[in-house]
Amino acid sequence: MELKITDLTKDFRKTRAVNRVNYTFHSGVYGLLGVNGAGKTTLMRMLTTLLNPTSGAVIWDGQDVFQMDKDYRRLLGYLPQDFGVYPDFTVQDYLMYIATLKGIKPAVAKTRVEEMLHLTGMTQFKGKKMKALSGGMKRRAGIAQAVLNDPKILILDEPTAGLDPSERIRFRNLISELAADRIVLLSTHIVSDVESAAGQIILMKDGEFLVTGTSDEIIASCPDRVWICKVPKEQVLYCHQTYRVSNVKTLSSGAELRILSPEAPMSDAVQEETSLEDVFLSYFGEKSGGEDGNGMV
Amino acid sequence: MAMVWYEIKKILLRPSCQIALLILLVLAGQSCYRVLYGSEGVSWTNELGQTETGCAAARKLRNAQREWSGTLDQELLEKALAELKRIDSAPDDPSLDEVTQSNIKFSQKQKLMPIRTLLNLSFKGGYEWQYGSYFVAEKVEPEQLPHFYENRIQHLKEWLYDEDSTGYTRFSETEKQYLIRNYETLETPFQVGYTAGWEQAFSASYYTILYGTILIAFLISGVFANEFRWKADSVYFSTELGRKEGSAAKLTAGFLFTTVVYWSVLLAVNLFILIFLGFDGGNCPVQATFHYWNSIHHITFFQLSLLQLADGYVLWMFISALVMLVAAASRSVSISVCVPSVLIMVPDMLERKVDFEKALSLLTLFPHRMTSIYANRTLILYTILGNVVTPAFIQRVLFSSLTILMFAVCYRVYRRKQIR
Ligand SMILES: Nc1ncnc2c1ncn2[C@@H]1O[C@H](COP(=O)(O)OP(=O)(O)OP(=O)(O)O)[C@@H](O)[C@H]1O
Ligand SMILES: [Mg+2]
Repeated sequence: MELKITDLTKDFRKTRAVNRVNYTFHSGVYGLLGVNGAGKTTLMRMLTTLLNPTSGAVIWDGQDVFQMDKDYRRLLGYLPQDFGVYPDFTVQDYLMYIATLKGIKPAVAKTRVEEMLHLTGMTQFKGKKMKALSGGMKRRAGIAQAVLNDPKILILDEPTAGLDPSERIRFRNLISELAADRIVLLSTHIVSDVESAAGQIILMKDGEFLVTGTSDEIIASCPDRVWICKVPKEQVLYCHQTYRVSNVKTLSSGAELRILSPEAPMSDAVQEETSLEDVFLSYFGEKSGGEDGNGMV
Repeated sequence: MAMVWYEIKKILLRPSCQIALLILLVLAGQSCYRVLYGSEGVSWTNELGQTETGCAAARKLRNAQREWSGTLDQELLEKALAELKRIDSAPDDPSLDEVTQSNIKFSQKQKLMPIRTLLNLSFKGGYEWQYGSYFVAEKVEPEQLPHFYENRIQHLKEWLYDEDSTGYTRFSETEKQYLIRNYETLETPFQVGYTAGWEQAFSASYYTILYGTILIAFLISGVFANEFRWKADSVYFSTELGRKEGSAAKLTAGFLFTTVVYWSVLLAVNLFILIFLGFDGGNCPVQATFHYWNSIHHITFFQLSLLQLADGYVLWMFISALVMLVAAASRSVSISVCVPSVLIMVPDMLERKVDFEKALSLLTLFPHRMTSIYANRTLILYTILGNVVTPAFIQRVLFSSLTILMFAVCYRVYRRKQIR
């Protein structure tokens, strides 16, 4: 099981959304992290054959996926970011329909649909019309349709958007369950979504893979360290302009700042363990002012 | 097949589509109603000179005209003419006003109307209907009757070769010869009689087919465009069968839906009207009535109805295919609804407004004409590679093949769609 992308590029009229990306996926969970416009969705659309690359290729076990056509799509499960449904279908109808589109035999489809409804906690809503579902419930139905055909490649574009905290946890557990013997690629802005569940994390920026690796590797790759400094009120603004500040805690005497910097920003700063969230900020965060590109890769 | 059913379900579950279907039924119902009670529907004038409408009126008219139906040979012509003259010369009741007097006369002549109309047409003295032609019948002399069928051909010849007539410049010599041959080969004597059922069924179908195209365009527009409108496209096209089989299922669904809706509505309208007004006259040639006297199509009323329904079906399929193609290409419901409506309605309106002679050659091959191949239209012919062909022939070939072509293109376009 190997999904390989080579020199994958997509140009839109003016922008290059994905820029010569090379990567190989094996079974496991991959978390794709990036800011808005990083090219996550565009990349996923190419991986799902919805969009033809400008250049480069997507190879599944040695075969070009665009040549494989439906033999490749048979292996796919996809939850799009901008996810729409048939408003007049009930949840059950919808899943049965997608099962048909996925070539699942009617006899099997029925039990598969029941299973997925159960898995996503949608059983009690199965008779409800799709247009009457809340955003979160719709996304759950979306997750259910993605895994209906037990896909080898499961691609989820911001699957946790709109889910409440308990549903988020449930989703994380679901991903861990599903991880065995398949490739799961999920994109998100929310670091905690991938922190625990994803074996491999990919930081994407401006259409390129910036850093890849396990959570620890990513943290280790980060040139910034985390410092906790207590500063008086009048210095807070100055710190914001000079350093990347990931957190501010207001104290009676001033503020406790969490600062990202390769060096200790001030003598009394205390170093803390770097979290993935800090790394994210370090790579993607913009300072309010200050010098160009310092600390950026 | 399951996929086809889901596609149809997507159409049927849409509230707006349910409304559109309802409108279609109302439209069909209204054309049926007009036949029985409308100003251009059937009516019967009773002995007192009063006008009656509805089923009973239709029955009276039918019974009266039945006695004067049959083969329109010299014997029947003479008998009918004598009866007309007898009614005209009968003394009027002086206590009644003039309008009522003439209505009473009309009441007595109703049984003869099919033959009387043909006498007007044959002896009006020219190809085109003129002011005063309506009063010709009673002035015909029995000695003229042997020329009854000949006159039709004679008028055509005059129309084609008289330098002042519209026919003179419109046709080439080959086309003129074609027309004359066509007129000469029409089988005579005609069968005549009560044909109101078929004529009314024709005009009701005409409106249902024409305005129905807009509704069917609306109903079908979602089949290909809704995936995009509902943002269901990404999932749809990333499934195993979404592209190839899915596109085929959509086309099949559109085809089946149009077919079922068309035939159920149109057969219902036709059967309703024929059952209420009667099937009489199905074997009469269309030339045996006012609207078709000059027609070049050698068919009976029964054949007319069949052909009309078949042509209407081709038109609906053409519209469906066009809507689906535009929807697949543009991804937009509104564009795909508008295109065929504009294509049907604008030429139809132009034709009513613009000078007919000028609009004629341009507009004749537009799809709206598919509904009116046999309607009372001015004669026009085309010469292709030395062969004279009727617009009807071209329209049938053109729209059937375009329909098939568009189905094929739509399939190709849709299955290769990219999602941006
Ligand atoms: N259809 C399109 N036409 C033109 N440009 C596009 C199109 N789709 C995406 N882009 C551009 O490509 C770049 C990447 O977009 P993409 O949607 O892949 O980002 P993303 O990482 O998914 O962002 P988000 O987190 O907001 O979902 C952006 O600059 C965007 O403006
Ligand atoms: Mg995105």
